[in-house]
Order: sequence, then C-alpha cells, then structure tokens
Amino acid sequence: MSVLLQATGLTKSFRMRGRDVHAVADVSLTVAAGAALGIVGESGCGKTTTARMLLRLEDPTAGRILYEGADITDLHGRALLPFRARAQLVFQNPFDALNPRFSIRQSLVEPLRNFGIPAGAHAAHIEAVMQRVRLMPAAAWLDRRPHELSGGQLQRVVLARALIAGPRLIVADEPVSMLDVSVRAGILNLLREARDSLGLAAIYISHDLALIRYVCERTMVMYLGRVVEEGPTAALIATPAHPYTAALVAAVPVARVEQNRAALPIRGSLSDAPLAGPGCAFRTRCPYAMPRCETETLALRDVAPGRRAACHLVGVAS
Amino acid sequence: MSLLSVRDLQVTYASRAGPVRAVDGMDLDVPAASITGLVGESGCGKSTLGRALMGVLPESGRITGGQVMFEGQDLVRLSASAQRAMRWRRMSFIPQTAMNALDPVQRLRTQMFEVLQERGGVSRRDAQQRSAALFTMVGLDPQRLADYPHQFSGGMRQRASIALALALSPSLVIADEPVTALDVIVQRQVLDVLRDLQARLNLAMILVTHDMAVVAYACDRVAVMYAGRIVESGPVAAVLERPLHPYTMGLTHAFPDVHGGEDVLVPIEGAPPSLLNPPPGCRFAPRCPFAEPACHASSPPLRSGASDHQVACWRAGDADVLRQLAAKPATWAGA
Amino acid sequence: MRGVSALPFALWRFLRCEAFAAVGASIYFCIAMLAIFADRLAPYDPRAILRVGSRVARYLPMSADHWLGTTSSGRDVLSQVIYGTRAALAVGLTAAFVVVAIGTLLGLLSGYLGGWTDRIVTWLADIVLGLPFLPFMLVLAALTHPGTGVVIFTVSALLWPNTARVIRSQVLSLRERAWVEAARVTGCSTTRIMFVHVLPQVLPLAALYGSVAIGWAILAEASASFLGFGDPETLSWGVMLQEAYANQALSRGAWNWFAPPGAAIMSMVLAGFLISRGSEKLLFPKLADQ
Repeated sequence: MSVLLQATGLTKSFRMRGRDVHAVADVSLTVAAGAALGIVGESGCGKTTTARMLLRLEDPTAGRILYEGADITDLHGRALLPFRARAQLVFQNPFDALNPRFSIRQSLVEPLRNFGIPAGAHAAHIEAVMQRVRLMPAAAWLDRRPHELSGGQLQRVVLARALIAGPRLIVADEPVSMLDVSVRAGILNLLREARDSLGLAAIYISHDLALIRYVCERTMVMYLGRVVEEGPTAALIATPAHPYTAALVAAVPVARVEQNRAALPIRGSLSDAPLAGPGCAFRTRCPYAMPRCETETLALRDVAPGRRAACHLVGVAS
Repeated sequence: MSLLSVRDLQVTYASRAGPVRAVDGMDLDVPAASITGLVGESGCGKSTLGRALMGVLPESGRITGGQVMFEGQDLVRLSASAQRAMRWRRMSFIPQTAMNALDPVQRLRTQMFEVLQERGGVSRRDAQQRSAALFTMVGLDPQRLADYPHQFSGGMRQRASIALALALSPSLVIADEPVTALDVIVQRQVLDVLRDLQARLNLAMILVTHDMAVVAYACDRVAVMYAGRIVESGPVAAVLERPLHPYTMGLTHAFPDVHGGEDVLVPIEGAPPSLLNPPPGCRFAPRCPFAEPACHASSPPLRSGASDHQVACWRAGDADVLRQLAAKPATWAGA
Repeated sequence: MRGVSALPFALWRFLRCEAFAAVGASIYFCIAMLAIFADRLAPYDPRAILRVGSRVARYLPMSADHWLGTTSSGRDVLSQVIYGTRAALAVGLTAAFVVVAIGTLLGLLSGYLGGWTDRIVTWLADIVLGLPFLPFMLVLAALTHPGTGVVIFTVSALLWPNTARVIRSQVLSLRERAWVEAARVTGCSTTRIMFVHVLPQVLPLAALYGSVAIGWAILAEASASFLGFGDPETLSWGVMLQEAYANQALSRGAWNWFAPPGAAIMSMVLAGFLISRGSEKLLFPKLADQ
C-alpha cells in the first residue's frame, strides 16, 4: 500500500509564563491509502490539534507534513486547494457544522464549486452522494435548512459534503459524540461503508476506545501532547504496553453483566502532570514510575512487530 | 418496599407550538439502598423527571398529573414550603456540569457551610467537621475547602458537588448525567466514588444517563425510557441479558464494545417521535421492526414479567424469538 | 429563493413580538410615505409666499387653512415640514448607507483577518472616536463650501467606528464556528468565506446600526443648518429651525413654527433608537434571558 499522508516531528507549542509548553510534541505518523488510523486520548492530550495540523488548518511550530510524497507544510491559500480537495473533515458537532443560512444543496455545492467541478456535473454528484448517506429521495432534503434536520440527519449531510468532491482522506473528530445513542451506529456504519467502497483513508479522533476499535485497524494513544503507544487496535487493547494505555482500556465501561471493577492502574489526576521539562509526562500518575522516568525522555520504540511504545518498562511488564 | 414510587406522572412544557408532554404516564419504583439507572436518549424525558422530582423544573414546565410517593408523602400534593423543607435534606441532586451546582465566586467551604447551616441547621463547629469529613469521603483533600471551584479539575468539581449533595445525609440522590462531561478515567473514578458511597451510606440513587455501559458498571437496576415513558425496567443483569423490549434489544446492538465481538453494529433507523404530537399507540412502533397493527392502535402498559422485570410491549410474549431477530442487521434495515 | 420569500414573514413575526421595534418601524414608514407623496400631501408649495388679500400671510396661527400656521415670510409650516422629510431621508439614508458600508467592511476585515489589518483598523477607529463631532463638521464646512455633502461626509467619517467595532466582535465569534472552518476545508477562499459565509450573518446587526445612523445624520444636518452651515437652498427641518430662530420665533411665542420641525427630528431619532432597542432581543437572545 502506498503512503498517503505522512507527518514527522509535528509540534505545536505556545508560550506560557515564559516557558514553552507543548500542546503537541514530536508526533510522527503515516497513513497508507485506504487505511484507518485512530488517535485516542483524554481531553487536552493534543489529538484535535494534531488532526487540525494534519489538515493544514493550523500551522505546526515544527515538523513536516507530506501528502502523496509532496511537502504541504508551507502551502497556503490557492496552493493548498488540491490538498483540500483530497482531505476532508467530519465535524464533532453537526448542529454547528453547516452554514445556518445555506440550504443543504448550497452546502453541498460549495466544495464542488471551489474544487472546480463543472456546474453541469453538480446535480449528478449531489444525487450520488445523497444516496450514499441514505438521505433519499434527495429532492426531499436539498432545499431544507440545517435547523429543520435532526442531529443524525445533519451528520449525514456533513459526511455527504466531505465525500462529494472525491477525497482520498477523511478526518473525523469525535463524529458521533454529540448524537443520540440510537443513531450513532448508523453514522459509524456509513463511515465504514464509505471507506470500504471508495477506498478512503481515515483518521478518527476520539476519547472512546470502543468506537476507535470499531472503525480503525491501527491506533495511536496520546497523553499530554505525546504519542505513548501505537499499534494494531485489537492488540493494543488486548495487551497494552504503556501503563497509560492499560489504564485507559481498563476505564472504558462495557455494557455487559460481568464487569471488571478492579481499581484503575493510575494515580492522581491530569492536573498533577508536569507541563514541561525532561522525563516521561506520565510518571506522576504511573504506578510503576522509576527514578530514570524523571530524567530520560523516551522515544517510541518497538515492542512487537508493528507495535511501539514510549516506556522504560516495555518488554518487562505486561 | 420502594423508597420512591412514581405513578402515571405527567410533566408538560408550554411551548409556542402547544403543550409538550416530556414525561407522559411514567411509572417508576426506586428501592432503598440501590442505584437505579434511568437510561434513554436526549429528549426522552429522563432529565425532566429528575428536575420534576427535585422541584427545579424550568418556568414553562409543570407536573400535570400523577403521583410521586417518597417516604410516605405524595410530593405532587405537598405544599411548596413542605417541599422546600424536604429537598436537599431527604432528596438531593448532582447536575451534569458541576459548575451548575457550585457558585464560581464562593469558596467551597462557604458553599458547604451554607448548605449545612442554613438548610441543615448544623452549628458552625459541626459544619467545619462535617465539611472536612465529606471532602475526605469523596476523595478530596479537606485543605482544598479553601479553594474556589475554578481551581479544581472537572473530576474534582464533580466530587465536590457529590459532597454537597450528601451534606445533609439524604436518603435519595438524583444524579443527572454526572459523568457525561468527564474523560473515561475520571468518569470511572467518579462512578467508583458514587458506588462506594451508595454502599457505605445505604443510599438510594437515580443515575440518569444515555450510556448503557455506565448503567452496567454502576447500577443495580435500570429503567429504559423512550419518548416520555418507561418501556422496560428490572435488575441490570436481567435487562442486559434478556431484554424484553425491542428498543432495549436495539440499543444492545447499537454500541461497539471495547473488547470487540460484534461484526457490525445495528442502528435503530429513524428518530424518536415529537412529543408535541406523539403517535397514538406504542411510541416506538414507528421504528420497531416487530410492530403489528395492535402496536399502532393502543399503548401497551408497563407489566411485570418474570422476576421483577417489567416491560411495556404488546409482543413481550415473543421476546425470546424477537431477541434473536433483533441481532440481525436485516431486521432493522427493513423497518 | 426560499430565504427571500421567507423574509417578509420573519420581519412581520419580529415586529409583532417587539413593540419597540414596531413603533420605530412605523415612524420610519410614515416618514417615508410623507417623503414619497410630499407633493400630493402638502397643502401648499412650501416655498410660495402666501398672501391674505394683498398682505403677506406672516405669522398666521394654526387654523383650518394652515394647520400649523405660517412662517415670518408667509410660508406654510406644515408643507415645509412635509417637504423636509425628503431632505431628512436623503441625508439620513445616504449617510447611514455609507456608515454601514464602511463600518461593516472594516469590521469584517479586521475581525476575520486579524493581525495587521486588525491593528490598523482598531487604531483608526480609536483616533476617529476621539474626534469631536460638531467642531469637526463646522471646521470642514468652513474650509469647503457648506451643504449636505459636508454633513454626510462627517457622519460617515465619524460614525463608522461604532459599527465596525460591533461587527468586528461579532465576526470574531463567528470565525470560531465550525461551519466557518468547514468553509475553509471545502476550499473557500478567504474572500469567499468573508463575503459569502460570514457577511450575511452580520448584516442584521449592520442594519441595526444603520437605523441608528439615520437618526444621527438627521440630527447632524439639523445642527449644521441651525448653526448656519447648512445649504440654505435645501428645505430641511434644520433650515426651518434656523429661520425660526433668526426671526425670533421663540420670543414671539410662535411655537407652531419651531415645534413641528423639532418634533419631526426627535421622532426620527427616536425611531432609530426604538428599532435598536427592539432588535436587541432578536440579535442578542442571551441578553433578553437575563
């Protein structure tokens, strides 16, 4: 499989009380054509900022982003248009993702027009994409305005807008967290279908490992701006290598009768974490912290084929 | 014997388009010393119920019928002053965002003292001791009573609002989506605090949530709400393993599980009905793949099945067969 | 097309719920009608010197023939007030349009683009807000030739910062909305985002500031004319007041001459104020909740 999107050393920092604080520090990732990558972590871990940098919505402080081998890190304005046509975003809040004054049709025409698809072909594109997101018959929906639609219907329109101009990559930031429970599965299935039938690559951002597992074969776990572990989703959940991943997996509630109610392998709270300086950012909450965790900042290293983690315990603990 | 027993409760909101029955003929029993999960999607009336019980409905909302028996009294018929006297002492509330319970410009100690002294009539010295004990109980350092809410993280604020809710030793605590805004690790920790306190203090608790997994983790009993009514209720294990209502069956296949197992999720097509003009029969019938003419004609009552497990469904007798059909995506796609 | 046809309904619903705005809007409506049909509604030619027999009909009191009496030069006051609406509206609408156009454009640019554009616009606005209105206009009138052009220029040049500031803050919050980001992702140019996506959202607010600017412009025109810097050839309420003042209408107790143009000016300014009060609820629903 060919590499579609590659990022190396992505960093976003801002100055706070005279010190550089990293919202995202040294994140590298590769997404192959047609593959799905999950980025999971708690709020403030930098997952959304990472996604925004990958989509060139925010400029990285350092690092490079390559799309199909071409460096797009410094492109702006019109020069970015070909990339925009290929990389689309599905928003978290469908109630805010569509211009309230635009009809559904106008919202769908917007990308077609901007990406230079001839006006004569618009109707066919719209019809096809509405069918793909199951808003049928299309004519019944196109002249409505966002406030006339439910959350699930709006998210279908948002997905349609992302798909209409033929992207190669979809980034979905918490695509169902604002939706009613009974319609979530429908949206997740649409995303999965679109990927399968169009061969799209996808990046899912979520705090919900269960959702990530359903839609992504590979997953990256972020903690305070850094990637602490990455690997195939099922393996990462079954045998977490990093203590933070282990805590995250153990904390996810399951809708089953048998429950694991053992205390979480984690101490303190996120607010105890060191904001800057050397050492592992997780050490203050890690039940296995050692003296060297305070001094050495560890890069990701191989745990098993295709699996990497940033922890001194790697290979020792299980 | 239930601590709280709700019968045929109706809560109506006045809206421009007409009256909206957010809760419409609801029956619910909350046994003492247990956690009852109230689960349903947004707009099903689960939060309205909590607010109606606490007497904090918004201006446009009114209880328009039914009975709420709590500790031998009917709350609906109680005078306003008697209700005020009872609230917080016998029944208290934990809101979704702790910021709604906490005053941002007051130290936590001040807020704690206010509840203890003014509502509870506790002396100042006792209030001091009690506040510290409450903070310790929810896993907060009593030193931090001197802090303002903004100095706390989200999880700590939620712990503080739990401490505030428990200040006067109520027998019933209503928690409205107490962990929805929290990250998974903090969510788990707060749920552990709630479970631990419930057991230690012999509390009854209503945990309002949209998340079946939270119910499975934290609750003893569950009541499933749909469009203003309870459609199924019973012990958590029974409802999860042998759901009797098609809506509950649908929900159990609509979520991914972190440990995998499902090939494909089965969505419930359609959307909940408008409460302005609900369908005449069973409210789930328009989305139900098993609906028969009878289901569209009249609304099924909540009836007891086996072992303390109730369901409001005309086809409850076929539940075993329906459950197997409900696991197949094709069943729901055709509804 | 739906949007266009829905607009009158939305406007009607809004006016029905907002008594303030409804009163303001009806005042504007009446004045507009008076201006359009002035030649039919006015009983006399406003410039004609009327006579009673052979004498000039000066200082006639209110009567059935002259509802508001006559001026010192024997002209019908009511007809002058009615014709004055034309000048008032011409000045008011032109100035309001320019104020809103400049203010909205600069507010939009500075709010959306930020950076240097924002700093320059904010800096300009601060300077302009420091300029005193009347002296600025009088100096300008003295340096050039007096007339409505000076009035319109002054109002436009000095009043845009109010509009720009409000539009800027509105744009700042709109810029954070997901659908604006969606416009970026779907390939919209910055110009398109600003003018196609964001601008329509701030237009109601701009119109509101326009309605206030109409009142301001009429007030400014009246002040300039009253102080003798107006265009004496124009038939405006300000010129009427100036004439009344110069002829000591006040000491003669001829209030039927100076009160009507004064009331007309007041009602215009009031109308703008009422509309803005009424729209507050519509534009800032959170404010109304509190």
